[in-house]
Amino acid sequence: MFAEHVKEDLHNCLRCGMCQPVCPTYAVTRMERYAPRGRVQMVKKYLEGDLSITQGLHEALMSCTLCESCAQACPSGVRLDRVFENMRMELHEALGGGFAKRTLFAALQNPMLARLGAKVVRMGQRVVVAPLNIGWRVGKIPLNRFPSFNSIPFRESAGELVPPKGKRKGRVLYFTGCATNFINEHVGRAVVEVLTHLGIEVYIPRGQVCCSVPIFLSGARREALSNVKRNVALLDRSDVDAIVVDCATCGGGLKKAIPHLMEDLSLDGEQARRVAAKVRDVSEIVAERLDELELEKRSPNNRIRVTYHDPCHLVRSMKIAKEPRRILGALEDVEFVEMAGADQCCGGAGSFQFEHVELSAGVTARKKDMIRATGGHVVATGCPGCNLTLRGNLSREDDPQVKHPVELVRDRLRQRQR
Amino acid sequence: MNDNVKQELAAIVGPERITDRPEDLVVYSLDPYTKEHKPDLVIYPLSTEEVSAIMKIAYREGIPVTPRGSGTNLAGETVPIHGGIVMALSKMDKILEIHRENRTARVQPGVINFEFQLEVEKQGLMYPPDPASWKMATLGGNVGTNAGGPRTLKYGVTRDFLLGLTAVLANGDVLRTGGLTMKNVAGYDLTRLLCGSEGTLGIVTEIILRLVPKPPASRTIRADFPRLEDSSDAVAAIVGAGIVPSALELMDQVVISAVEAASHLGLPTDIEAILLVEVDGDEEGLDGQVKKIEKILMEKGASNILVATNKEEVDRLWASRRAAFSVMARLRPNALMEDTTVPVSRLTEMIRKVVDIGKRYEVRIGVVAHAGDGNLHPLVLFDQRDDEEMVRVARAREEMFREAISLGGTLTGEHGIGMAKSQFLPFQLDHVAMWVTRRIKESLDPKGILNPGKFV
Repeated sequence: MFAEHVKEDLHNCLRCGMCQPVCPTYAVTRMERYAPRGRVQMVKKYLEGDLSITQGLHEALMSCTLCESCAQACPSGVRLDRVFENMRMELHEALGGGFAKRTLFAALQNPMLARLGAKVVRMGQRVVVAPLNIGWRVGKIPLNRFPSFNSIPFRESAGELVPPKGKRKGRVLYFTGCATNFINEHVGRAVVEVLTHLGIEVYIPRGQVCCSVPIFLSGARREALSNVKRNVALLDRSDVDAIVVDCATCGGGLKKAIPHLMEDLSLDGEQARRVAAKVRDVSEIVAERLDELELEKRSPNNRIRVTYHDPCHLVRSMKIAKEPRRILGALEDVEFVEMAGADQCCGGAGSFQFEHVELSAGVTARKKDMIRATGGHVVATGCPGCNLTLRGNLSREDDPQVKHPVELVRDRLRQRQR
Repeated sequence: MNDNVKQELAAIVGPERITDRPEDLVVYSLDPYTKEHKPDLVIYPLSTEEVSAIMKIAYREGIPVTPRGSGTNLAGETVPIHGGIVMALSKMDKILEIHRENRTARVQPGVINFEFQLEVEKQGLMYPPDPASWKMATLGGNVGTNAGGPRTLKYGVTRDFLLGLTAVLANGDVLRTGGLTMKNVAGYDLTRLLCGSEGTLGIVTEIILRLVPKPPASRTIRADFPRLEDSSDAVAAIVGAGIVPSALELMDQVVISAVEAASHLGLPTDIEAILLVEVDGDEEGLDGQVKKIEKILMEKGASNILVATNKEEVDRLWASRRAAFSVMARLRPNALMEDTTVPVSRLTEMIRKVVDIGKRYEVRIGVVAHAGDGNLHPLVLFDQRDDEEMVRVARAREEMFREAISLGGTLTGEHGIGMAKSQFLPFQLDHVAMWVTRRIKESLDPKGILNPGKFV
């Protein structure tokens, strides 16, 4: 189903090409089928009946990283992100999603299955991959560079309610996302420590499920609805000041993509919009309370050089760019160096890197050059997807480590006397 | 096109760089102009040799070939209106050499203008032609259309920076023109003949460019004019005073109001024109020039003058001009950017005529202009789905062209003829000029396979 109000956007495309130079896949291929203008025109011709759904059309539309740079650059205000999201639904409904994706989505939609899957993967990592040093790769990333899974899901180990340290100054709901829950518990711990340090009570509802962005951005919009509705009902509460995320994709989904999804499918979006209005990236909360942070004294003589990569979903879906930089700038022993092209896609884009290996590798290679040119020791980024891609591909001895900005803050918190 | 020929062509470039998939044919059937036609085949060559081999087969078979860079041209130059092959040169994107001492560069045609600028600047040099599309347009496309831009006023257009070309002719022969020297009078000036020929005489595969030292400093001035006539008088007076600005841009009331309504930059909406003047050069001389310009602007009736002294202020002054296209484009679904150009002294007259034409045909037209060289950019807005409106748009455009020519101007200052204006070319070129043009075309491309349906 293609939303009528998005069809109108197709008539506003001037075909001027101003979207070309910002598109990561066009930069790598220099072929119009991988340029936003090309993709928009394909969608237009499909709707006009000149093109039918084929593997070729599928490839052209699914080989986009959905980085939204084109939508931002368009002089006519064509909402290319929404055009592509609607078209992917058409493709999905005609062609289906493929076995691997269907399995993953089933797991993400069923918390029990997800928990079991994570356990199996962890076992595989510990028993098979690590000791045997197997050289397999998924996409371009060697198996042994994948992060290891948490021994038990973060939400189970963290508890449902974490009290603030010192005087209570606020209360937030923490939407942890799957990455923190199953893989990056260190990020979850950093978020909780920093927030409670700031006097914020952190409520982590057990019932939350996958945000479903990976599901519906692949076109399976209807399939994602059960999770979406469940989360929205759970998150819509008046007793929290904000809904905090540490994942750019969850944040972008809750803030923007989910209300769009409801609108496009002509569903009641009232509750989703209320939730969206409360969603905040953890960096926003920390950045506005920088002077309340009690940080360890660190010598500015021994500074580490840190650069920052803007996740697409953070900088464009959520419009957050200044906050993480302000945080990094406030750390005494951090020398912040801006990289050229910080807001350009890293080439990961979720499953894109495994389905379009060469294209993704080309985009990532450009990003690696930008990062290396800064000479940084650390590249900070607030997205587990970017983190996976960067960590997996930055493999030289002298390459920087990849960290969430909040981890850098947590490492510098002054430990209080109890 | 029969399969044997396709296989023969595929053998030249390999299966990855040739395609007839339906989606590829669709995306190469169009450019910013309103007409479309699908090619039969799209090929992405990487070298002069490949282009030559492809052309030999195309020539033997009589297959039309349309060269294309980024396809951001504005007059339908890259629409393969007779089908055949689209020669997509976008992958030939290497900067082969930048020679600092000689101030020259050798590039492949698919290099993006803006990316080239960045590389050249690292050497303290500048490549002046800066079309509005510079972030996406290729240098090969700039040669094909003889592209200009705001800096043209002071520095000149693409042809003024061309030293030599490698081009593949219709029969596959490789033509080399010009060379690495600034001075070179050996033979006809074939370099300039190819420049602006829109791929109708040959396919450019290598370009030798002249560069200039990058000016170390610049100043930007904005002046608001209650009366349009006064703004053009000021333009003439600045040029007449021996000052050569690096940019002299004008926005008319329609554009000012639209920009202000959308962007709230604090522009006065009760004035008829805004002028933006930029001067560049050595730091020492600039303040004196700014004083002179301010004085002229005051004398000619500017109601308000702002001088930017730092980069932020410069950006703020230019913000309105940069936003103009995007703001105007959002008013209606479709837009055509025209580029009728008149002698500077007739600028006001032409703008008045454009405004009047817009009113009479009930077509929304806003005018921005590279005022210093009389180059108007009337932005014509419409909805392509409305047939009746399209008739009015066509009439309005034709009248605009006739008026420009009657004022001693031209149909097109920097966008080209393509499909959009080929029928109007005889308005401007007399029968002798048309005869010479046709004879040149026939002698270089006797089968008429190079970008047919365009230009002549």
